[in-house]
Parts: sequence; C-alpha cells; structure tokens
Amino acid sequence: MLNKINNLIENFDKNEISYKKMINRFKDGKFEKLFAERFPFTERYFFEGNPSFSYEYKDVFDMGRYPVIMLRDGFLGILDFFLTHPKPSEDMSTNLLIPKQFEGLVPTFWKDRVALYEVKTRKVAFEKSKTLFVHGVGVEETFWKNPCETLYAGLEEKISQFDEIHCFFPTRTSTFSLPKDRFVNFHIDLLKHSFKTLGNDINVHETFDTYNTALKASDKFSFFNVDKSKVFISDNFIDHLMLKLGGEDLRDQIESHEEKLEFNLSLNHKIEITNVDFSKSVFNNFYLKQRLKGRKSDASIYKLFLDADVKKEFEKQF
Amino acid sequence: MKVALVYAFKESDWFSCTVITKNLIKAYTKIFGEENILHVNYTYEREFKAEDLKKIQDTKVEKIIFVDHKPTPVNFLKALKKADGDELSSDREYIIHVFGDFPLYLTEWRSVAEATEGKKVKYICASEKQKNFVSQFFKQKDIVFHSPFPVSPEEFYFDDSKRSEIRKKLRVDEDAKLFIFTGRLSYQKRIVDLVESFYDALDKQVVPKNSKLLLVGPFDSLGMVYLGQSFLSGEYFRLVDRAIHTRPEYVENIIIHDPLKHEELNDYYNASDVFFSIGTYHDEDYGMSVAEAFCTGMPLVLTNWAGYFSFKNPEKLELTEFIPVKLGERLPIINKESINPAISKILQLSFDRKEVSISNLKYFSIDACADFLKEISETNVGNFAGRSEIMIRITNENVFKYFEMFKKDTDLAFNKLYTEVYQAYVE
Repeated sequence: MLNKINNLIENFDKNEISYKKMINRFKDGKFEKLFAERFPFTERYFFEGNPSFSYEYKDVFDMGRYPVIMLRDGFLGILDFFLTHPKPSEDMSTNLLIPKQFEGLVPTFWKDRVALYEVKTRKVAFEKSKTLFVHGVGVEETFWKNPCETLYAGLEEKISQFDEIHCFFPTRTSTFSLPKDRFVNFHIDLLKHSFKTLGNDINVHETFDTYNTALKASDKFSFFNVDKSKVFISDNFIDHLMLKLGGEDLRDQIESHEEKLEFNLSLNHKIEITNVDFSKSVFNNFYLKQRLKGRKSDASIYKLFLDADVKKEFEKQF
Repeated sequence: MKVALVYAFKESDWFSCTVITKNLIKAYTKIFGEENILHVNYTYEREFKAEDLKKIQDTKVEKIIFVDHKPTPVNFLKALKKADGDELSSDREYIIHVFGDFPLYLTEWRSVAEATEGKKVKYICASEKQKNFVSQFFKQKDIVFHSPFPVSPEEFYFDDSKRSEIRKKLRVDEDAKLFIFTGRLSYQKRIVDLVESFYDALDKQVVPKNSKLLLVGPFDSLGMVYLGQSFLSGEYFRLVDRAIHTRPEYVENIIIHDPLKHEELNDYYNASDVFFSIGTYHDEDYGMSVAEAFCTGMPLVLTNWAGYFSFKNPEKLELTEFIPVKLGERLPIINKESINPAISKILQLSFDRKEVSISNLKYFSIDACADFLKEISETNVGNFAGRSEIMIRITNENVFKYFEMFKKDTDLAFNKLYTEVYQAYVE
C-alpha cells in the first residue's frame, strides 16, 4: 500500500489536486456554509495527497476523479464515509489517506485502498519558549467527549512556564447541535475555563489577524489545540501553521517506528503515512448498530452527531 | 530650501521596503540637512494630517518627495491640490520614488498624473532598466531618472570575522564554495530552476563536490500575478522540496534556511562566496538583497532581468556575470546554457574582497546615492505633459482586469501589452 501511495504522490498531476481546480463544489449547502464559517481552521493547503474534506465532493463520482484523497475530516466525516461505503464503490478507484487517530474506523473491505496519515514536526529539539498559542472553537463537538473542565488536564505544569498566552477562540455557531442548543454558550464556557486555568492575563483574539500578528512577533513558542476529540476536523490548518512556524505542540508527539512514508510540508513539519492495522478495527461496532436501525437515505454527518449510540461508541473507542 | 519627505512612519510588512525608505531618508537628510526636512506621515491606510498639508504650505516647501512603496501619492496629492485651491502649487517640485509594483496600481498613477499635469514632476527608479520601463508610461522621458536604493555601509560591508563560525553552523567546509540566495522563495524567483542549475553545475564539475547552495528566506504563495496564478499554502515549498530530492546524492548540497534577521545577513554574506539568483520577478525593479550582498564585496551571478542588470561596478565589471533572459509566453526564458560558464568565470576570479566591498559601496552606499539624488534634485525638467498612449491602454485593461491586465483573454499567456512594455526588462 505504501508503495502505491508513494507512486501516486511522486507522479501526481496538478489536475488531480482538487484544491487547484478553483471550483468550489460541496455535497450540500450546509457544509459549504460550515466550511466557510470554520475558516481559518478549514483553510486549504497543498499536498500531492489531495487533502480535502469528504463533503467537499459532490458524490462518489466526484471523488472518483482523484487517484488519492487525504481526508481532513474528523470522526464524523470518516465514519459517515465508511458507513455509506463499507466496501469500495465500483464507481470509485480512489485511494484514501485517513487520520491515524481514526484507524479503527476503516472497514476490512478497504484493505489495499487506505493508508493512515499524521502531521508532525520535523524538529528534533525545541528551545524553551515563554509564549503559548492556544486555538479552538467553542462549539458542542469540541466538548463531545471531553468536557470543558478537562481541556487542559495534565498540562497545568507545562502551562505554568509561559509568560505570555494568546488564545484564538473565534465565536462560531455550533452547527452540529440541535437548534435549541445551537447558541448555547459553549464559547463562553471555553473562555471561562481558559481564564480559570491559563490565568487572567491571557490575550483572547476573536480575529485571526491579531492572533497572527502576535504569532509573527514570536520566534519561539509552543501551541495547543483545545480540540482533542477531532469530531469535525482532524487536519486543522492552524495546526499546520503552528508547526510550519516551528512551534512546539504541547501535546506529546509519539515517535512511530513502523514502516512509513514521509513527505516534508515545510522546513519544520511533515506528513507521515503508515499502513492500517486492521486488527484494531472497530468499524463493525458502529456499522452493525446503524444497520439494525436502518441507515436512511438522508444519513449524514449531521445526523450521526445527534445519534446517541454513535456518541456512546465514540466515547468508548476513541 | 525646505523639503517634505512623505512616507509611513510605521514599518512596512515588506521588510526590504522599510530598509529602503529608511536609507532614502538618510540620503535626503545628507543632501538637505535635518533642519530643512519636514517629515510627513502618510500611512498605509492612506491617512495623513491636515495640519501637515498646512505646514507644507506655510513653510513654503519647495520639494515634496515620496519615499515609500505604498500607498501611491494619489490621495495625498489630491488633498494637497484641494488645499492649494484646486490646483497643485507650481512653486513646488514633486519627486516620486517608484518601486517595482508600479504597474499594479495604474489607475492610481493615472490620477497622480492628472493631479500633477503641468507641474514639475520627477520619477526616480532604482535601476536603469526600471527607468526605461517606467519611461514608457509618460510622454516625456526626461522626467524619469534612476538612482539605486541606498545600502547602509554600517550594515553591509566586508567583515569575515564570523566566516568560520557561520560555516561551522551551516556545516559547510572551510574550503567549500558557498553560493547564497536571499529573498522570498517564490515562483518567479525561480528557486526550482536555481536548484536544478546548481545540480547541473555539480554534475559537470563546474563547482567542487563540496559546494553548497544556501537558500535563505520565507516561502510564499505568490505565483504569476499577471496570469491570475497563485499557489496554495505550502505548494511552492513542495515544488522546491521535490526538485531538491530529484537527486538524493546532492540533497546535502542544498541548505534551506529560515529567514534571517536583518542584522544577521552581513555575517552570512561574508561567509558566502557568490550571490546566485536567476529570478525573473515581474516587479524586480532592483533587488535590495543583491545590493546588500554586493556591498560586502561578493561577486554575483544573476540574470540580466530588470533591476538585476544594474548590479555592476564600472571599475570591476568582471565581478558580475549576467545570464541572458528573453520574454516568454508564461515565464521569461532563461538562457540556461550560460549559467555554468558564468559560474566558472566567477570562481576563477582572484580579488581582494575588502577592496571590492569598499569599491562597490562607492556606488551603492547612502552617501553615494545622496550624490546621485542631489544631482537629480538639481536637474531642471519641463512641466509634466501627462501619460503616454501605452499607459492609457494598459490602464484601461487594468480597470477591467485588475492585476490580469497583461493576460490574454483567450489563453493562459501574456498579451501584446506585456511584450511591449516588458521588453525593457530584457534589452
């Protein structure tokens, strides 16, 4: 599988990179709006593996135009895709790269068509930094598994070393929530808890411009993405930016010793691609429950989010 | 004589332009004396104080000199024109330093031309070819001058005291030839071509095996603006990284370095042997990094494109080798066969670098440029007669197509207007 992916990436054609086509096509209008609202976390970037969200394609015919697609989706998008396509569709010969965190969602029928990716730093050592950059969105899915109070759990000691903390917490609608919950104060809770844990002197940025200005002024820094669950986005552009600029992720990065491909994305960060270990698959746990319920034609990431069984299984498995 | 220097007091995002403005101010201070200069803040947001306009009038400023890259003088001049009673005063001279992005703001330059018609106007470009380029846009050629953007001799000069230390840090052998490029690592700077040319030089043993190419600067996403082509974030890095890895045996010969602080550059230039650039950027009116490197006494291998062609010392012409370029359909065409002979010639030179540095500074330092600017300031010119026909035509395209004014509507290629005006960059 890795040889195949390597060949596809080495011999890519610009016409096979969806973000180069300058055509914005989405599965539905709701996702188009969500994609725009969650900017700059959803900002597009280049890699020959074609990083994109599953709902940035109209349908399986659209996806099938690309030899390889690296899915930036979080749990919902990956699950939704494999529930819809538990076996590879005959109309799609695409190979997929999915986030390593959700290795367990790959059905065994997709053997030889799926590999895993992780975005990591290339730096082997970091100088001690005094500035911390924290980013995230205060919406329901950020706290789906991890309540707000646990966001900074285990990091208190690390956080205490920083003299200056900047937080990018833009206000956004909780799109996945039920209408009655859409404007619940997830954002306020995030702020309250951040002030409580990080201190009263934190700089909270509502717009990316001011956050970016602070970032450009820092030559050594650490960063932290409050989204641990990765329910909506796994491959977050701000993470890329932080790694590209040489920042140290407060979350420990685990060095993998398995067979892998590596592709540099900048002087300071890279993508690692590894094979799927199908012994870890928990896909059937989700699939069987959905089959029993009868997966409807209007199944979507939005419906999955509101499905209590899905949430329960997610909390158990990830 | 009282003069007004108009610029943004706040530093630009475009760092090289901040340096240029700062050094131009020093040059003009040398010419006119600080006591005769009125500093006027004209911000990037196009704001300025009405009281500054009044001061210009009350102190009877005789020359208004625009020394910043943006914004264009249009808003300022329009306001001054109104303050002067609906016509700019003829008792003043209006001197405008033109930067490389001149064609991108033609609708504004149109308004500047309108406001200054019939007045004493001078446009100063940083290089001979930029002067030839800009001259095409006006009816009179004698109102366009050239004077290099000055380099501070306190910042860039020969000093090899840290040569060994820098080379050790970069893991470059003491006796190795170190080629350096500094600037944006951008599509039109032709970094991929640069890497490929360097590999070719290694293959053909034009450079010794332990030679290195040091690329210093930030990657950007600017593609070919005129053709509406831009890159995604990270795309140009991937292109360069792929080019580097096409020859695994030479990967260690290429060093990509994060951007350096301005004050670190002198040491890195002094640690290097040749400044190497085959860029063909659409607004390469000068090349501040080249000027700075040149002032450390470093020989140059450059394309003869646009502003690069001015980087020669009349007393030591052998220290710059130019690679010919001609206009292409989508990108200027570099005569790549000339690169290895040029590198070979440069590497065979024997010279006293300190002496060369001193000599180069005679043409590019703040003091040297102050002399050029003084001469320009004292030159009499006729009243400004307005825009040329070509400028009118290009401006009309700019109104409809914005930055893509030089793009054919039928193909992804440059149009006749581009070929007509940009010929000045290759002649």
